Amino acid sequence: MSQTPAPRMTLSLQLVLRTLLADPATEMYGLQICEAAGLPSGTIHPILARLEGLGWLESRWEDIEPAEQGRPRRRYYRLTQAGAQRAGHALSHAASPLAGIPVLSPRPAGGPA
Amino acid sequence: MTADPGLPVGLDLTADLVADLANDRALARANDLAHNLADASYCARDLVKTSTSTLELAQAGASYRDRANDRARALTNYFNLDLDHALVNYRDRANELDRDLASFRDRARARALVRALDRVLERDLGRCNSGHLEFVRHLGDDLAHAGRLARDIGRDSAFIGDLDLKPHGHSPASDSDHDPELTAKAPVKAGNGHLARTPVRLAGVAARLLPEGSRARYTEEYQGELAELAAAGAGRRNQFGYALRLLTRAPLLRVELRTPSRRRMMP
Repeated sequence: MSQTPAPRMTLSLQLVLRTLLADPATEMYGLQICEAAGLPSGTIHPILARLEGLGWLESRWEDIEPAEQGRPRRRYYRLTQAGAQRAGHALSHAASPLAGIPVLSPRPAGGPA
Repeated sequence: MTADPGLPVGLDLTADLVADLANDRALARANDLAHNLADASYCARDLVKTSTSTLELAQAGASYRDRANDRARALTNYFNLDLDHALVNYRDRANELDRDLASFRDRARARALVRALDRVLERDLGRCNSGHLEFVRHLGDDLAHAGRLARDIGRDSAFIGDLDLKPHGHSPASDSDHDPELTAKAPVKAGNGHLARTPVRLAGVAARLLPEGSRARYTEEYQGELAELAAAGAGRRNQFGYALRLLTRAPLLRVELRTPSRRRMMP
């Protein structure tokens, strides 16, 4: 894939990239990324879609039988090798780096009402 | 002079006369000489006086000359100093003019740079605005579509107010007939969590706003996440909030899915 310019480094994007770069080899699903990044659940899909469109991220369905597991299958996301490099570079050169912002405490995507 | 005794008396007188005459002539000559000497002395004195005067004049002239030279030097010095001052002043003034000129050139250069930057910003803003206008247009279309779908849901399920109640006059069978897509992909209940129907419907609406090729995937993904929330103990309010966030961000996701190449080109 040809080199594409880095996306605009919004705060949300930086939080997601930081979460993904914490362990680039590990796959995470949507809610998991939300909780780790401290973002409201349901808000990261445009960000994940943008990263997938840039080729920084790849996704796949969990290989299970929902009926057997008693739960729906998850969509897992993981940084590509090139994406991890570009993400690290973009994060380090962000105009408003997150260095001064402490890690947000995970906001539970759901909890007792 | 005594007469010579051998001479006659007349000759003696002539000799006496001659002698007298000779004496007179000598006297006269002596007198003349004396007068001449006197005159010479007077002339000499006058000459001395004249020489003295000349000397004095010469000295006075030299004195005047010296004074004149002094005055000339003083004047020259004065004029030189004045010229120096004038030169210094002119040099200072020239330096001031140079600085003003440099400052003027810098300001002119800065103004030209600002004008060039303005043109660049105007061009970029124009591009940005045209891109944003297109985005806003798409967003408007999507929101209008979402509004229509929400109205349809409101009519069918009366979700405004008391959430998750069975719509009045409807049977489960008519629900599934009305919304086969959602029912076909209804998530498996997970754990002890109760999955509310209205958030599921809202998530379905959010998925319908997406491009056709992505609807199935995101429908399943949204419902899976709702099931996870329910399994984690999230109540109806949390599930509804999650589904509402999906709905409000669906237009953004639609744009991302529709034009990934455009996003690549954006700075």
